[in-house]
Amino acid sequence: MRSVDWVVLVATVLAIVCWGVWKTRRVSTAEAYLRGEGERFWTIGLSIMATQASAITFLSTPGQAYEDGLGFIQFYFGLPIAMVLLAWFVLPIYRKLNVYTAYEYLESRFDRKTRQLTAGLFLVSRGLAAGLSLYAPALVLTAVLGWPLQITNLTMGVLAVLYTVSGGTRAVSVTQSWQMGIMLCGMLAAFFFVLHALPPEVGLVGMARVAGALGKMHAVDPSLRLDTRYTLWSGLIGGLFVALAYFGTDQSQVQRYLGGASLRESRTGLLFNALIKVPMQFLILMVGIAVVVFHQFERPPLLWNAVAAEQARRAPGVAERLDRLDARLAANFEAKRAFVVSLLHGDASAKPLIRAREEEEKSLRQEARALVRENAPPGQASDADSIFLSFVLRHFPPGLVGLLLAVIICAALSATASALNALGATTVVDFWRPFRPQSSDAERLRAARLFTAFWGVVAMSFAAFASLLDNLIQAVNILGSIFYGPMLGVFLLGFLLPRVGGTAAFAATLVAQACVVALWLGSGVGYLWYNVAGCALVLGLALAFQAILGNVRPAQPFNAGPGGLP
Amino acid sequence: MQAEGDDLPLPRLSALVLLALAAEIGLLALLGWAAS
Repeated sequence: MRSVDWVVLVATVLAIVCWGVWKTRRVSTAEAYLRGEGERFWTIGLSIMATQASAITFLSTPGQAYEDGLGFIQFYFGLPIAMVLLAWFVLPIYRKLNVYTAYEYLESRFDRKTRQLTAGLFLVSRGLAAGLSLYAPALVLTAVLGWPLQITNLTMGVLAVLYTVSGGTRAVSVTQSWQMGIMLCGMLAAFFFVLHALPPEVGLVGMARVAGALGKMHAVDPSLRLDTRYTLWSGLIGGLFVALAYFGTDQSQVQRYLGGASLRESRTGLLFNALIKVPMQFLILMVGIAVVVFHQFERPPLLWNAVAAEQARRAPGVAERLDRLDARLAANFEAKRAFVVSLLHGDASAKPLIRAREEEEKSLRQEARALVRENAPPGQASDADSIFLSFVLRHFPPGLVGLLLAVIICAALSATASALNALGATTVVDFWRPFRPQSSDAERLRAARLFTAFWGVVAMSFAAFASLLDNLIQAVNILGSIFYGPMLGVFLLGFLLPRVGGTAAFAATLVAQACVVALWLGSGVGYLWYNVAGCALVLGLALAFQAILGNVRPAQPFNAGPGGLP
Repeated sequence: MQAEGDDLPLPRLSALVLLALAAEIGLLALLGWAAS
C-alpha cells in the first residue's frame, strides 16, 4: 500500500470519527444520548442504509456476483414492501408510545417477561453480529494486506466505541451520513474504474453480453424451489419477513428512525431507504460483474487469498498440485478469451463454449480451494470474500485504493457503532432501568455510556475469538434469520391478535425459538424461510396456548402509557 | 417528542415505492433475458 493510500484512508476515517465526537460534545442528557436530537429524513435514510451496509456487504457482495452472478439481489426485494408497512402501521405506534426501544412496546401490550425475553434475544443476536461486523473485515484486511488481525479488530472497535460512547444516537447518525456518502462515492468510482479498464471494444453493452454468456446476469429466478437460496419468491416473501423483523424489531434499526424530528421525517426516511436500497445493491453487485468481465481479458489468479495459498503451499506436494491447477486454469483462460472475443464480434454460437469453460474454471478453483482448506492453518478469510479487495490492490490506482479501504473501514465502523448504540440502549432501558426506577438522568446517562462501552468490549472479544465462517455475509444473515422470525412473531401478536396474553406469548416465543434452531440444525431449507417459519410458529402456538389457558381481556393494539423511560 | 402533525402524502409515496420495486424487478428480469 502506498503512502497516498494511507493518507486518504487515515484522513477519511479519523475526520469522520472526530466530526462525530465534536458534533455531539454537548450531549448531556439520557434523552439526547438515547434518542438523538430530531434528525431530518435524509439523515435517517442514510443512517438506516449505513447500519445495514456492513463491511461484509462491500467485501463479500462483489465476490458473490463474481462467483454466482446477480441472483443475490433478490434477497432485497421484500425490503421496500416492509418499509411501506412499517411506515404505515408500526412507526405511528412506536412514536405514540414515545418509546426508546422497540421492546418497551411489548411490556405495555403483554408483560415484562415477554419484553425482556425479546430484548434478550436481540442482545444475543446483535451482540454476536457486532463481533462479526468487526471480525469479518479484519480477517479479509489481514489476508489481503497482511495487517495483524487482532490489532485491526482492536483499532476499529476502539474507534467505534469512542464516538458511540461520547455522543450516543446523535453521534451514530451524523457519522453515518458521511460514512454512507463515502461508501456510495467509493463504489461508484470502483464501478467506473473497472468499466474504463475493460478493452475499448467492450463497453457497457459488451460487458452485459459477456456476463450473460457466463451465466452471471440471471437476477430473477421465478422457480418455486424451497432449497434454492435466492429466488423471486424467497426474496419477496422470506425477504419481506426478514426486513420486517430487522427494521421493525431490531433496535439497531428502530433507534435510527425513532430519532426522527417528527413522524413525517421518520416515515420519509424509511421510504427514502426503500427507494434507494435495491439500486444500491445492484451497483455493488455490478462492480463484481465488471470484475468478472475484466478477467475474461486478463488472467485471474487461481486463488484470491494469497496468504492462505502461500501457507498451504508449504505442505508436502501441495505446491506442485496447485501449479498444475494453475497451468490448467491458464490454458482454460486462453481458450475462453478466444470465445469471448468471437462473441463480441457477433458469434452467438460461442455462448455455450464460454459457459463450459466458465464451469471448468469454477471446478479448477474449487479443487484449489479444497487443497488450501485442507493444508492451510484454520481461521483464514474465504477465497470468495478476498476477491474484491485483492482486485482493488492489484489494479486500482494510488488514492483510489485508500478510498476503497476507507469504504470498508467506514462500513465496519457504522455497522458496529449502531449495534453498540442499540445494545447499550436496550440494556439500560429494558434491563437496568426497571430495577432502578428512582435513578436520576445523570445516572441513566452514565449507565448508558458504560453499557455501550461494555458491549464494545464484548464485540471486540468475540471478534478476537471468532472462527472461520465460509461466506461471511451469509453467516450474518443466517444468524439474524434464526432469531428474527420469533421476534417478529411476538410483535405481530401484539399488533394483530388482541386476545393473546403475556404468558401465551412468552411460551410461544420460547418454543418457536427452539423449533427454528432445530430447523437450522436439521434441515436443508433455505435460511430466508426460517423467518417465515419462526413468525408463523409464534402466532400459531400463542393462539393454541391461549386457548388452553382460557380467555383474557382483549388488549388494545397499543396501550399508550406516560411514555419515556419506565 | 414533538407534536405529531403529519401531512405526508403517504398513499402516493407508498405507491411510488411499490411501483419502483415492480419496475426494478421487471428491468432486472429483462436484463437477464436480453443478456443471455
